[in-house]
Amino acid sequence: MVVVYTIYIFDRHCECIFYTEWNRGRSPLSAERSAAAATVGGRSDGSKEPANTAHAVDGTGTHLSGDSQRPLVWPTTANSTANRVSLESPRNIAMEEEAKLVYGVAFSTRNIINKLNSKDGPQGGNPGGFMSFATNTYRLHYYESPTGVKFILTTDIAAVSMQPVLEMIYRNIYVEYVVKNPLFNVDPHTSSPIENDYFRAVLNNYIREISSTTTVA
Amino acid sequence: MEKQYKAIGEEAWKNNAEKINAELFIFTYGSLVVQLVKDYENYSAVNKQLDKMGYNIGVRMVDDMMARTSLERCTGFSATAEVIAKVGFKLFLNVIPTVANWSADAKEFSLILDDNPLNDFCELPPKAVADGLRYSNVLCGVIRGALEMMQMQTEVEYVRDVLCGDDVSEIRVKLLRMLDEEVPASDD
Amino acid sequence: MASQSQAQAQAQMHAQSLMKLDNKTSKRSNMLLEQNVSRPRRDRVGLGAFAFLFAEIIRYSQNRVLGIQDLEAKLNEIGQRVGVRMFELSMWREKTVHREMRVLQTLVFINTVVWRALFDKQADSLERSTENDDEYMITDNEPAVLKYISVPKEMSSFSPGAFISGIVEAIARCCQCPARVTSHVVPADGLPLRTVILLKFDKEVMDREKRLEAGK
Repeated sequence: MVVVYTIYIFDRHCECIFYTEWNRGRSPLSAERSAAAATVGGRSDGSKEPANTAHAVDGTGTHLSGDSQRPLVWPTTANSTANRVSLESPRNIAMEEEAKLVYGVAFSTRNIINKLNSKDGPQGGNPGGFMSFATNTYRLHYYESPTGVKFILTTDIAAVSMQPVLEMIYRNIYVEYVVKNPLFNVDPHTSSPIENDYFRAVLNNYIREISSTTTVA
Repeated sequence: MEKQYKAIGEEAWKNNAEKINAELFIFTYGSLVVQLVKDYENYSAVNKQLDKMGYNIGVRMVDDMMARTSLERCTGFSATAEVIAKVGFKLFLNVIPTVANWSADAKEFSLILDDNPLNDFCELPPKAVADGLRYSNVLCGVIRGALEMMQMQTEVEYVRDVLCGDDVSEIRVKLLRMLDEEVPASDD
Repeated sequence: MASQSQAQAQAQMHAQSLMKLDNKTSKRSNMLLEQNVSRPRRDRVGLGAFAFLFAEIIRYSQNRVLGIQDLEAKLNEIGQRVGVRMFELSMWREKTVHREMRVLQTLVFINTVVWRALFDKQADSLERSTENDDEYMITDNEPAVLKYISVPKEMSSFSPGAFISGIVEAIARCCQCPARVTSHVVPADGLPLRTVILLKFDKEVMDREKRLEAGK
C-alpha cells in the first residue's frame, strides 16, 4: 500500500507544468480548495474530503467516468475554465515558490550525485542514477526522461522504489496524453501548463490504483 | 552496436508500435503539401514551412520513441545516427535508411533513403523540380527537432532527392554544438 | 558578338540540363507507372507518425483561420484530397465493385470498403436519420486517427473528425452522390471520441433516387 502525496512535473525550461496532490495535509492548494468550498457554503466541518462543490461547477467530468473526486491541479492558465487559483492569488504565489524549491532541491541533488559519480556535464541528464531520498516523514522520488522532462513524486517512507511508477507515468500517460495531443503545448520553446482532462483523469485513476493495491511492480 | 539498435527498432515496431494504414498516411501528407503550395505559392517558402512543421513534430516524436524503447540518451554522435536510422525511422515509417558519408571529424553524416514512404505515388511537376521543392523536407525538421531535445543542435538538409531526378535521396545531418541544460533562473 | 555566342551557349546548356532533368524525372514517371497498385506497396506505418503529422496539420490550420468553423472547413478540405485518392485506389482494387450511384450502395461502400481500407475495420454503425430522409449517419466509436486528441474546453465545439468527413464527402461526390458532410463528437460511456459523420445528400441526389425508385 503506497500513500502518494504529490506529483510535480517540470519541463525542459525548469518550469512546473503540472502539480497535483492526493493525501497531503496542508498545502497552498488545499487551502484554496477549502476556501472555495467555504465560499460556496458546502463544507461540513471536519470532513476529510472538503466538499466537491468546487469541482462540480467546472462541469468537466461529464465524459470521464468514475472520476467524481478529482484532485486540484496547478498551474492553470488565465483562459482556462478550470482556473480556480488566480495568478495574483497569494496561494498561487505560494505554490510557485514551493515548486521552485522542489525543483531546486531535486536538481541540486541530482547534480551532486552525477558529480560524485564523475558523470556530470553541461548537458544534464541523470547518469548518476538519482532515484529517491527520504526524510522521516516522506520520500521524494525522481525520474528524468531522456528528453529532460522531470517527474517528482512524494510518498510515504515505506514506498521504496517508485521508478516503475514514474516510468509508467512518463511512457504511458505523459507521452500519450500530453505529448501527442495536438491541441495543447503549441510552442516547444515556452512552457505551458498541462490542462488536459484525459491526462488528469488517467493519472488520477492510475495513482488511485497503485494506492489501493498492496504491491507495486 | 549496430545490430543492437536494429534489434531494438524491430522489437519496438513489432511489439510497441500501434500502426496505421500507410496509404492514409501518405495521402494525408500529400494533401498537406498541396495545401502548403496553395497557401504559399512559393516553393522555397513551402520547404521552410515543411521544415518548421517537421521540427514541431520531431520535438514531440522523440518522447514517443523513448517511451516505446528502453533507449537512454546516446553517448556519441555515431550512436545517435544509428538510432535515428534503425529505431526512429523504423518505428515511425517502417523503413531503415543507410547511414553513410561520415565526415572526417565525425560531426556530419548522411542518411541515404532507399525507400521513403512519403514519396510513394508522388511525381513533381517540372516547375516544382526547377524551383527546388523538397517534397519530403518535413523529415529534415523532424530530425533537427528530435536531436535538439537530446541537447544537440544540428543543421539538417536534403542534398539529393529522387523526386528531383537524383539517383538517391540523401539527407545531410551536421552537428553544430551540444546544448547546455537549462538551469533555473536565480531569484536575486 | 562574343557575349552573344556565350549567351547562346548558355541557353543551349540550360536547355540540355532541362532535358537531362526531364529524362531523369521521366524515369521517375516510368517507375511510378510500372508500380503495381492493385495491392498496397507497403502495409503499415506507425500510428505515431500519423498522429504527430495530423497534430501539426491541425496547428497549422488553426493559425490560418479565425474560428472553429473555418478550422473544420480547412480539415475537411485536406481530407477531401485524401478521399479522392482513396476512392480511386479502392475502385481499382475492389474489382467486384462497380461505381455506385445509388445512395444506399454508396453508403454501404463507404461504411465497409472505404472504412476497411482506411482504418482496417468497418464503421460501427450506419443509420438513417429519423427526422430527415436525406440524412444518414456513419458512426465510429474510436477513430484511430483522432486518438490522443483531447479537445480543450475553450474549443469544445471543435470536431477533429472534420478530416474524416472531408474524406467521406469526396468519396460521396466521386460516387455521383454529392452530399454535405459534417462530423460531430458524440461521446458515449468510455468512448470520448465517438464520432458521428453526418451526410446530408444534395436535393438532386434525392430526386434521382425517387425517380429510380419509381422506375423500378
